[in-house]
Amino acid sequence: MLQPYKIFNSAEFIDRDSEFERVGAFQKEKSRGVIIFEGERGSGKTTFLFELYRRLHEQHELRPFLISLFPHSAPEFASNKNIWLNSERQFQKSDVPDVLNHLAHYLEVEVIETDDRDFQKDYFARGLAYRASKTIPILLVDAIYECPDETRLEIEKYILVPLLASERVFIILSGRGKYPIWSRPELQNAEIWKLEPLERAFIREQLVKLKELGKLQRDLSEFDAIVELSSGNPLIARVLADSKKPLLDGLSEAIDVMIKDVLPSWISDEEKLEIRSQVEKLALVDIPFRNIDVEEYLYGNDPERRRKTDRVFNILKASHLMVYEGKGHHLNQSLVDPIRKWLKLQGRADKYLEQLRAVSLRLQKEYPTVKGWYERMLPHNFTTA
Amino acid sequence: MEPPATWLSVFGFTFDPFEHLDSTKDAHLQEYLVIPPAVQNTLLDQSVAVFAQPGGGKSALRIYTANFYKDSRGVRFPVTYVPEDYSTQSNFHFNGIKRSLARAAFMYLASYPDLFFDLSSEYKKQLKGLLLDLPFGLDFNLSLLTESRFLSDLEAVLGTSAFSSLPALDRAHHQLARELAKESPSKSLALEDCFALLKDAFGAKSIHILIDGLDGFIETQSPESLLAWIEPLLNVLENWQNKNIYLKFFLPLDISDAPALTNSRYLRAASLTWDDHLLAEVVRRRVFVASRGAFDSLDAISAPDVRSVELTLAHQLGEKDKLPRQMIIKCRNLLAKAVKSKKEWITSEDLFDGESLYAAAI
Amino acid sequence: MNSASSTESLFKTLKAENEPWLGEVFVSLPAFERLKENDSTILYGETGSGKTAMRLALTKERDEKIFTVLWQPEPILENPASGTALAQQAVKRALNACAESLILDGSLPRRLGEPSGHIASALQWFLQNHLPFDTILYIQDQANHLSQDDLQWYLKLFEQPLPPVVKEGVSFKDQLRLLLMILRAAKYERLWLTIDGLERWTPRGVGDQVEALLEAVLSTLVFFDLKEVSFKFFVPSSFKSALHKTSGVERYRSIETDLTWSADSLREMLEKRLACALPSKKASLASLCDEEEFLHWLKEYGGTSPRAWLGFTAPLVMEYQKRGKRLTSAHTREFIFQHPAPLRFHRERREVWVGEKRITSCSTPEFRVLEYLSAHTGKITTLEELYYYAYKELNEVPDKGAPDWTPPKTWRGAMDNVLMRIRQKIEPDPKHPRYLVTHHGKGVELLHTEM
Repeated sequence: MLQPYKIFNSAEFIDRDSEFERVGAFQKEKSRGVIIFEGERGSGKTTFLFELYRRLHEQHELRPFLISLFPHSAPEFASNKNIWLNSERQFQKSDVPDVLNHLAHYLEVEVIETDDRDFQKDYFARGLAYRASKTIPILLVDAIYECPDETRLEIEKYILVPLLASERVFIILSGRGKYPIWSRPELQNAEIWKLEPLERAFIREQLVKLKELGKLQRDLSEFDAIVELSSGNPLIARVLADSKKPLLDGLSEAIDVMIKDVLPSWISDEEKLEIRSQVEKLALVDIPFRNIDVEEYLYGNDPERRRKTDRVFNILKASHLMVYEGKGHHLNQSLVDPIRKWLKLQGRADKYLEQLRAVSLRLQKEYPTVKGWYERMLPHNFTTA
Repeated sequence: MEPPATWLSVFGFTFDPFEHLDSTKDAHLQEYLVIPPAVQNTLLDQSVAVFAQPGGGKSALRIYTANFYKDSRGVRFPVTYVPEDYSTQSNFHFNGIKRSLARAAFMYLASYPDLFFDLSSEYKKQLKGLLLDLPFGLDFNLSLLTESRFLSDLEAVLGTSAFSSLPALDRAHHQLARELAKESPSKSLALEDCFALLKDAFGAKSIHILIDGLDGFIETQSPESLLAWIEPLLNVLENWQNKNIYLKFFLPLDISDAPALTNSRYLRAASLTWDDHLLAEVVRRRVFVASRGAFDSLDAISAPDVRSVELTLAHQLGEKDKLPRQMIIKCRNLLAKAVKSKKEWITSEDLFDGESLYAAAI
Repeated sequence: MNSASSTESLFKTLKAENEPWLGEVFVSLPAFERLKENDSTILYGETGSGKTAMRLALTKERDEKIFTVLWQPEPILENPASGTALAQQAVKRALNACAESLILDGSLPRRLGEPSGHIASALQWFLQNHLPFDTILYIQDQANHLSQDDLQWYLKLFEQPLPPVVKEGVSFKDQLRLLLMILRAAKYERLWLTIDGLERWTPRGVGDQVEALLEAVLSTLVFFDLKEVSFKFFVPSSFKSALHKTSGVERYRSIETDLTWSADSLREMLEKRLACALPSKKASLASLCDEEEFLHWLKEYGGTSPRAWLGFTAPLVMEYQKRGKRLTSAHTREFIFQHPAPLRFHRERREVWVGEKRITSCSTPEFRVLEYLSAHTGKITTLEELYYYAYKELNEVPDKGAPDWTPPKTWRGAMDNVLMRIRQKIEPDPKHPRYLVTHHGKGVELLHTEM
């Protein structure tokens, strides 16, 4: 059973006008290109891509095709063959021939038929590459960063690359976390556009809209507080507004959705709790950090602390909630902001800050040449008062 | 030196990104070859001359480019021509290109065998005519096609890569071999006819001829004689461009200011040179790929006070050594040293002491 | 192995090819570890530094999946080729070496079993084109290397007439790819081309011809530049500068490394040989003599040359065996005194060496004195003869009263001084000279020299 926020409904959609305009301008100015929308957990990438598809579909000369790699539902597109969507399961490598078949029909591609079924995929791909360019295909793929490598490689090899071989084509992808390893130059050099948090007014507008559609539990009077707590993250706002619990507990629940929903399925409930509490602590670290910087902060003098920290890091990276960039790891800002708010309200920050301060001082002492760096480890502008 | 497996596991790499000094032999070339901005036009639809010093990455770029075109499934059709003999006979290069074309065409057919069956009988005859130019003759290659199991077997013998990734050679290939054996060949085709054949029978929209190895001959060590040797190719640039046939030359740096190359309207010239930032990027890309995206710098596995490891290594290289391979040697030594010192990370001693170790290795 | 005669060969044989016990006494140096990697490597080493030993160990230790070829390039003299033509002759030779290795390796019939048609014809073609003389004769000639079954296997292969599938005039790279195809079918994954034996080219030093040949060999390696192939090129150190002058691009695709011995690895080598030569497997330098004393001397006069260390140790082993017990400190010192390192001259370079220790800054008269004495070994030379040779450049003593004649009292002091300075430079103990000895009232004599 899908959570309500995994069911697309264009009537609920709000804002992102500038992004739509940007895509429109890009597509008018250029004959081809690859755009990737990067956004953090809950920033609304999927909804945005669905809505973009809907709008592109209305343009006559375009041939948009959408692939949703994770379970979602969009009843209004139920009869549309140019969307690959599954509300039950993730997209798999073995789905590629099916997608290719649909694409080939949609784009009126001449494909060589072969008796060897295993060969057909390659002939489809060849067909896509040789496509006569009367119309402009636009392929949209949601959550390409988060899918398993083997799926992404297959999509790249058999769908994206052959499409890119023809002159007029656009590819629009979305992803969270770390940019994957592409082996084709056009994908390596794609335009990366960030999907920023929504402005507060729009968050509020969306909540009102959802309330009018009867999809929210909470009362209108609490919406201002919810908007504030969400830090512009539509997912947090929605979960919070649909919760029956007190606001503080609701926020905690929203943070849980943010984290636990994307953790690998093989992780036990107990470990999920553990991850949640370590993410809380990490949310207070103000510099990009490495295992060695925070292991003591997370696990004190536990002799196993290196291994345990590695495990937490690996899980967070696999879930794309944390990325390594520049000088260290960064937790998604969309987690950091609400967690800090929650810690502050809950009064739990003091204990963590004390531990963090001790670690920061030790590191400053141990590595005097980078003292300034570790001085900035504690969150600035953060008072627990 | 410790076997790489040791530091691989210590630092969490899934493979050794510094195994190959020569990136032409590296299976991950497409994933992490750093292409300096100046030579990115190599991939465009135009004739290009790329200059680099020996060991500067010409062949790696050539292979990358060939793979790039292969990815188009042959819409942009790559033909790699690496002369293996020095001759000043008038048709020498054109005959060589034709033989290269025969290999590429054979590989194309092996990649899409079913394509052949639908071709007109005239095209079939012409293809057979072209394939008579295969090394060791067509019969040998047909038995290779029949008896091999995978496309990769053909790739290795013909020295050219496939256009598709069919899981195995199958009955379509056997049928292809039978039909080719039966077919009677057209009389010897002119090179221009072969180009036309690729376009008409295969559907190629443009043909890209990658020319490498020109500086490997002792006779071509002087810039003048090298220029004289390739002059016949420079003379066809305009005519071929009009037919969407482009030449990509990979040449030594010391002829980069020859007017015949720089003043031609039909040839874009670019030099492949390396600065510290690009060299640092060479390592970062490798680290990123080998850690499967877990981190993109050796900083991640270094002590807290060690920063900008890649740039530091690049700075340490002498002016003459500012080449990717020298960076790779430095990284190998650094990681071996870090593992040997039994610390959990790269220390500043490893980084700065690595220098003497490096000197010993060169 | 543990007999007196083998002791001698263990310490005297310096040709690795002739050492059946190499595996037992081989010492792995850092350069060897580097060679074992898949990179193409150019290894420089002095004559006698153990290059060939390393090459043999490499072949022995290699993995089942590596096919090793030994190519010992001959100076190519039969026609005055140059440039690419010369290189192509060299490639042809290298491919010939590959063909010979296919047969000599011996495991091909077992590894290939019943090869498929294209493999069989490729092998047949490759051998026919690259074995040095008639294929069948060549194979029959190898009968003592091959089992009867293997011989039959080859004869069966050649029973079939060479199918007309393979046409002539294919490029070398294609021929190499063909070879690799055969090797893959035989479950080899890599080909290592080892190149050794360059010492034979020019016993007298490096000239233009060596440069041309090196250039040709390096150009050859361009033809061998394939993913599955690496070369291991063993080069005498004296060729290094000539090699650096060549333009061979292959140099940029390989690692250059020097074969150098540390005192520790030299000692390890000695001890391994001792353990091999003496009845007790635990035999070591310390069980033979005063180790500290002897090592100190080896380090000073044996330098980093394994050949010198072995040469100096051989008589010690004999002495030990003669005595039947360990040499005490005094005995060790006495032994060293009795067996001084040879004194050597390099006339053109004006160098004087004691063992591997180079004597620095000899003045002209000093060098001339040594030069004269070394040309007259086995004979006592008067100071007078020496004086006229060293200072007056005369080969004979002039008659008294002749224009060049000088009264002895004017040069006697100068000559004593020169002899004293020479002793200070070359003698381990100038008070008890071993090289430049005085025969009172007769003159001096130079002992323990080596030309």
